Amino acid sequence: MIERNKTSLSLNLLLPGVLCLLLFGASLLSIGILSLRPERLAREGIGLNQYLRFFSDAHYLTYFWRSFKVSCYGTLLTLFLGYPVAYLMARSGGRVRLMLTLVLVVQFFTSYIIRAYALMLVLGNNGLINRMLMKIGLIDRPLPLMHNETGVAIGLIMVSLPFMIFPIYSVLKGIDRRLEEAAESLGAGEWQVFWNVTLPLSLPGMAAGIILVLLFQLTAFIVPGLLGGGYYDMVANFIYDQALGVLNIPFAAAVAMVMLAITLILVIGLNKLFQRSLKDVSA
Amino acid sequence: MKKRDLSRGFMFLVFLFFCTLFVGFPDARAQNEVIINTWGGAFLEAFNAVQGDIERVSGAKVKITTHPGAAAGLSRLITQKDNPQVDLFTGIESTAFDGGKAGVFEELSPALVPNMVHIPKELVMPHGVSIWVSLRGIFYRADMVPFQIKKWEDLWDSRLKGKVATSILLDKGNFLIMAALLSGGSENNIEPGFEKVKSLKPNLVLFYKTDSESIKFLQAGEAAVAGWGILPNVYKLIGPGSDYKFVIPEKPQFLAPIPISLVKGRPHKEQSLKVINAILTKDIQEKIASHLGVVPSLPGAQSPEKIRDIVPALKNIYKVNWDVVNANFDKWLERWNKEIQVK
Repeated sequence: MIERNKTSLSLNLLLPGVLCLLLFGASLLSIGILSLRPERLAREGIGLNQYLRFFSDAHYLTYFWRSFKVSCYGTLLTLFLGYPVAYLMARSGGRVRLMLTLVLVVQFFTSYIIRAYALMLVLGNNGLINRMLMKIGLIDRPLPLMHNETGVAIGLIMVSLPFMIFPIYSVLKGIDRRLEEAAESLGAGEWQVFWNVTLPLSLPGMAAGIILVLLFQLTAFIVPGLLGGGYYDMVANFIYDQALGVLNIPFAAAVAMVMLAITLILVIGLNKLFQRSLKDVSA
Repeated sequence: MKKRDLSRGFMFLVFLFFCTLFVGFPDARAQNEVIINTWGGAFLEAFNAVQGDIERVSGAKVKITTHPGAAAGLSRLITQKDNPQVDLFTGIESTAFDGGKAGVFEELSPALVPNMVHIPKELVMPHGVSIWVSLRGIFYRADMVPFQIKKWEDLWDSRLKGKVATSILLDKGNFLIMAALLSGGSENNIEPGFEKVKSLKPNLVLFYKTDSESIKFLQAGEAAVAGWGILPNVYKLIGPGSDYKFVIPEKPQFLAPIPISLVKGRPHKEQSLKVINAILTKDIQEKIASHLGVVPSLPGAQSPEKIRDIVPALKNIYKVNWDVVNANFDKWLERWNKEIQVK
């Protein structure tokens, strides 16, 4: 009887999630159908015109190349910058941890656009960094920190840092310190302990962070829009131009579907890679 | 109450909540309201300011909702074609044409909206009637530009190296058409336009997709000049003593009629037509104009004093052939991205 009640409760709890998935699936399906419409304003007809158009011009692949390039090295840099912060948070006392958490969380109180705009005020030709460097005489003309790939990469890394830090922090916090102490008692130095014990054990956090940040950066729209100045549009910006500028919704939907397919393959690949690494760690 | 009942009750509430996401709560009040869909910011403020007047004159209850932009709003209407959520839509000329072609707008005529008879023919489209005319020109920061900008050709001045921002998306390629006109071309012969814009590249610093983006870039000092400016958005920034300036160059002159269109498939057709008719009355036209810094569509209604001297005569305005633009814009955009929007 108790077992039956438990099963019924579990099924009930699943319901909201299932409804969400259905909603998500329905919208995806409608985008898929839209991508098969043969013409710009067509509401009928089915064909592969939009996909053929996409694959027939190498120019469209530029947007994909830019997105994947910047998000791949952007994710790695976010990991290098985020890991030490997560480590510090996990290993420091309550006050430092609280302060760091507040600094990271407070940016979620402002909108994503405002944060990107704030970065523009720092990185721009007329921004804080350039003005300061020019004032102290280190440079005589502004450094090109914006309206190019550099600006987009810096912006993406800054905005996505919390998505890397928090998953790593939560895993690091849960690592049993006695394992590190045992390694130390066996003669391992500080770096050896970190390299052979802490880092492998924090892999699940890194995996979660990498996937989150990669997806976030791949689909970025606001940051390349504001910090790229039109010179470094990524896939999302291209989709926006097609859907809202030209009103070519079928083509925009086709590009979105191609992006979705590539992203899925990438995420599944990464997932498998991380699972294998985790198995090695536990072995 | 048993725990199981409580859990079931909770789950039922969650289920109901998700059901509302799919079907939406029927808003009893909204059933009798004419919903006007327009831009946010200054435009929403202007409509809010005249909402009472529109309701009084038309006798219909009105609700104002916003869209993120004319093209984005139309895109939403096209996807919601079978179940549109708004009655009236304000956009730009190209969206009225595109919406008509996509079958989301009804045709309008003086037989349906009597006040349309007073509106100049240049401001009437098959699927929309202009409710005001917005001025287009060059928006710039006088503190960052070493001379007074007066004409379109000034954008090519070498003193503006790395200071000019522009857009092809805004007003669907009108900047490119302007450049073509300067070089003897037009929307029918766009090649000279591309050549002219290519020669502007040393002066170009960035590109914007929306007018609000252009304002942000100018305010942050990232660009000194927005080569294609929209007056209503910056109307409150300009004036005596301000570093922000707006210029309407003489040749070619562009004005953007802002059409209101009647959305097909809504239950309030009669009331919606009365609302359009009300918006085309002198008092409401002047109130909207004074809020936005625009020219009323109704002859005889006064423009706000601040812009009265710079309003060009309607006969001097370049009339864009939207059929040509709509047929070619995707090609232009692609070429622009390949040839202009690269360093």
